[in-house]
Amino acid sequence: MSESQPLSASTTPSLLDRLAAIVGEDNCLSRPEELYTYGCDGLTLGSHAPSAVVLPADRDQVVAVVAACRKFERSFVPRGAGTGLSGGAVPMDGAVVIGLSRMVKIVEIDAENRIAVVQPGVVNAHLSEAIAHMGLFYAPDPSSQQACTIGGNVAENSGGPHTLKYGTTTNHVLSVEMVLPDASVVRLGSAAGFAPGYDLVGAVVGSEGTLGIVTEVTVRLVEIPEAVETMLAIFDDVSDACRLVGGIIRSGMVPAALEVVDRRTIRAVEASVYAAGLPTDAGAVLIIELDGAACEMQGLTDRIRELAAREGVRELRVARDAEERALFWRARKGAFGAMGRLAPDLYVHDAVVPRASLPEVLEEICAIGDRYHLTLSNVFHAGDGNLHPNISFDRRNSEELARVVAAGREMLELCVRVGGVLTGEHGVGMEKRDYMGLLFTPEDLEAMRKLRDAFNPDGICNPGKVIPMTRACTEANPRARGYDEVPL
Amino acid sequence: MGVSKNSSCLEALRAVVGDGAFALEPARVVAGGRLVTEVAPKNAEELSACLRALTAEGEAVLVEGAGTQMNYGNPVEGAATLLSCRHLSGVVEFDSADGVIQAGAGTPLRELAKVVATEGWLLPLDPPDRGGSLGGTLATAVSGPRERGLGPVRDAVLGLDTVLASGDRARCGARVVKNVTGYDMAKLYVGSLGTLGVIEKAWLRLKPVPASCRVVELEVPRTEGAFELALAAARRGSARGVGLRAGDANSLEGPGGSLRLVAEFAGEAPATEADAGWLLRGRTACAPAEGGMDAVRDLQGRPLPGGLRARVHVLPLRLAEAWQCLEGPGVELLAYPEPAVLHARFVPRSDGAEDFVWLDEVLGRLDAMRHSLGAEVVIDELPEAAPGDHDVFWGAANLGLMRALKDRFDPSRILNPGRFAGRI
Ligand SMILES: Cc1cc2nc3c(=O)[nH]c(=O)nc-3n(C[C@H](O)[C@H](O)[C@H](O)COP(=O)(O)OP(=O)(O)OC[C@H]3O[C@@H](n4cnc5c(N)ncnc54)[C@H](O)[C@@H]3O)c2cc1C
Ligand SMILES: Cc1cc2nc3c(=O)[nH]c(=O)nc-3n(C[C@H](O)[C@H](O)[C@H](O)COP(=O)(O)OP(=O)(O)OC[C@H]3O[C@@H](n4cnc5c(N)ncnc54)[C@H](O)[C@@H]3O)c2cc1C
Repeated sequence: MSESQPLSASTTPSLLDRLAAIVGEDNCLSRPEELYTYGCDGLTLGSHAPSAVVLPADRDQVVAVVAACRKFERSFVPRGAGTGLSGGAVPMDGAVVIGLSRMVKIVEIDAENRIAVVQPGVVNAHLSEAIAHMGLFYAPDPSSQQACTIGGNVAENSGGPHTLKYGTTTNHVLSVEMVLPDASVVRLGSAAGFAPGYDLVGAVVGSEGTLGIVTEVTVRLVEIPEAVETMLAIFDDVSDACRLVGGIIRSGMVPAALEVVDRRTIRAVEASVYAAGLPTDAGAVLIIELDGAACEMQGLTDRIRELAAREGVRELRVARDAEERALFWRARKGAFGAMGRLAPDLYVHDAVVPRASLPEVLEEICAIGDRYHLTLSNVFHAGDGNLHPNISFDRRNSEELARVVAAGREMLELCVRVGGVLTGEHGVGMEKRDYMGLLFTPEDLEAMRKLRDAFNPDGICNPGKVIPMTRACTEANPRARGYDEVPL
Repeated sequence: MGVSKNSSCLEALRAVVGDGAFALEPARVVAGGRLVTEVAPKNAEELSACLRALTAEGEAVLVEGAGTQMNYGNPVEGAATLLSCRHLSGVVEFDSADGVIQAGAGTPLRELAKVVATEGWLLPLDPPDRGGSLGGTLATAVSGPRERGLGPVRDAVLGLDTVLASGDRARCGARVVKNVTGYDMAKLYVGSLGTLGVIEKAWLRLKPVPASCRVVELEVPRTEGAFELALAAARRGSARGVGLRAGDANSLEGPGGSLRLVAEFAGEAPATEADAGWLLRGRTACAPAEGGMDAVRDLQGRPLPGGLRARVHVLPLRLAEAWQCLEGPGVELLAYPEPAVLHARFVPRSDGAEDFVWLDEVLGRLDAMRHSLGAEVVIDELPEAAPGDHDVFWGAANLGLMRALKDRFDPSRILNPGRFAGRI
């Protein structure tokens, strides 16, 4: 735990001068109106202004910025596009935000060896767009892929609708270059796919920007499948949709995606610009996407049809072309936007349960929402058991906000009770830091602390995230770095 | 190591596990250590208490699973106690609806594979069938020829229960198939050769048993682009594994003219048929060798007493070049195109028993490949009598970070000291 005293939120002028000298005046922001956007990420429940924001152009500038922050004992936080949903990029104690949004070069594409080297600010979708003509794509596809960065994906170990078949970010990162909190530069892993020693790349992916700043990433590329078949299964009851998911998993098929959209979401979507022609009296729709060799599609589709009939599907539509496929996905992809129309704020929850328990858990989650009189809807990565209960609310209503928070906690407790976990893709950040005790013992958390301390011994890099402070630390140093306040 | 220290250690362990700790008479010599005490805890509580006692005694241990691969890694330094995980055995929970299973580290893989098969699942761990345990397989994390289809060892692990040197029990991950709750600690323990913590049990993700499996074997003249063909085969959608080896499996000096390609396609029948058909178009299959891909796998893991076995990881397009760098008399090569790995077996040369000139020459060639091809090299087996003190985890980078981890997880260096990269 950090020994140092918290820093005041006012910026030391000489640090600011130093930062401006490194990245140039234009890339060093310090006026309150400039800093405002950097006070939070996609989790808009609370805002913490940084003392400054720097936008380095390359690795050497990152090194110099880190060294300067260290010299002035100012903590710092890496930031990609700020689409994170757990407050990971929020500066907790007047930290300097190091934005990687100018480091957007695709450094190398080696199509024959199926790897690419990118800077951390490259937007996820841009990589796949750049290599599509080679018949390749970058598989991790968070729903935010038009905006989020590969650096942010590495930090969060992001997944997406196609994680079921292709895995999450960790399965696609071969090597990273990183600036450690002591301003040294390391290259972890190897493009060859193996490096002797501990699996440091495996430890860094998903570490939420608390171990250092990733300045280059070598990723694996995947061949675009020959054929894709997208189906839309319409059910009267969301439980039946979940049971079909279980049936498909059990059958040994591995679809590319299995995504559920529930009734409340369907209604919100159909009332919005994302309307996709879904029946608003349906209990749920399940999007089933298969990909692979053209010759195997018919057989798989037939088996899905059979399983779906067994679960009492009302209707099974099979996309005839790319246009119809896009229409099926529209309800899924537009869900957050549509839900956002229902109230000023949307809280996107994220938890995972064993897939076989989906029907029961979903029912209970809806009951919790009802008990707290909240507008709750569900769109989720059913094939992975990854739930996204979404709560529409108005944060200016503090009484409602309190209900949102209390319901959220109950939902997490429920998921843990059935063998699930607190987050499947959005990360712990500051949002769930103080819930970690629901899942982990103090010894479990101490092991994580050991990992963090090996990279970031004095906690100067992204303080106050992921790991809750121990009671001993709270007592000894109530304002330890980054633990000033959690807005939830 | 003084006798009195050993007996006080044995007493301390006896106090914890009773008959589960005993003197080894005669001493067992394994992995460079001379072991005079053995302790075999029966559950997590006992394992934790043992490690607590060992830490208090400042007594280092050599961790063992089924003991089939104890020569892998650098020699252990100063351990006189064997910590056996064999009793931490058995399936804890098998959720066949979800395709996940939790089992103790000492569980024989053979048993696990059998249990999951009864419900139509496949264990995505594929070492040669020599009686290895789950814990040993995770601690070594060496992949076989089916990595293309089964994934690397680390991907099979959803959650781990470990016990650290302090005796603290640390759990990470869970039974669910997607999870980013906290750091991905399992990645650290998997493949760390027991130097950060002892694996007590693990949650694994299973794969469905494929509906169809087709094996194709071909003799491919090297002039006809054997490596390109192998890579193309490995990139077919249903490819589970592809191996290339010198023409005659039984001869150490292959004909040089042609290579034997073994391809295994697994999945939906139309896809495996199509991929097998693609590979056979215009070519004639040869009579399949017994065992198909299992034989390839077993060849990879076959011990070579007195000789040297090395594993070379390169980019796929450099595999042919890597092969050329190493081929020659007394060398048996086995290559997987993607992820690209070359397994090289250098037969000991008996030009004077004490003469290790050949070894220096081989090590020199391997070292040159690290630089010229950007290869990563691990020595799977080194002649016991080999002179010098070669780190078998060659040229590990970032030892500073690795030591910082070791210092925090095992500050007194009691877990497999010296065995891993950089003799950590
Ligand atoms: C509408 C919407 C849909 C979403 N859908 C998904 C989804 O399907 N799947 C999913 O997984 N997530 C999803 N997310 C969450 C979010 O997009 C991901 O977590 C994404 O990876 C964040 O990337 P970013 O560039 O915005 O990172 P930020 O939000 O800027 O940062 C996220 C974390 O990464 C760290 N970080 C950023 N860059 C670096 C770097 N270079 N080095 C070290 N640390 C760094 C930050 O410190 C922070 O802790 C969604 C978000 C939104 C708003
Ligand atoms: C095709 C193929 C070939 C292979 N060939 C080899 C090979 O040639 N050499 C090789 O070493 N491996 C090889 N492996 C890896 C193999 O899976 C394991 O080495 C084997 O299963 C070991 O099992 P075991 O129980 O006998 O381990 P042991 O021999 O008992 O132990 C192996 C190592 O793991 C450590 N260990 C054992 N149990 C634990 C535990 N519970 N917690 C922490 N550490 C533990 C031990 O200290 C030791 O260093 C191969 C794998 C494949 C797929």
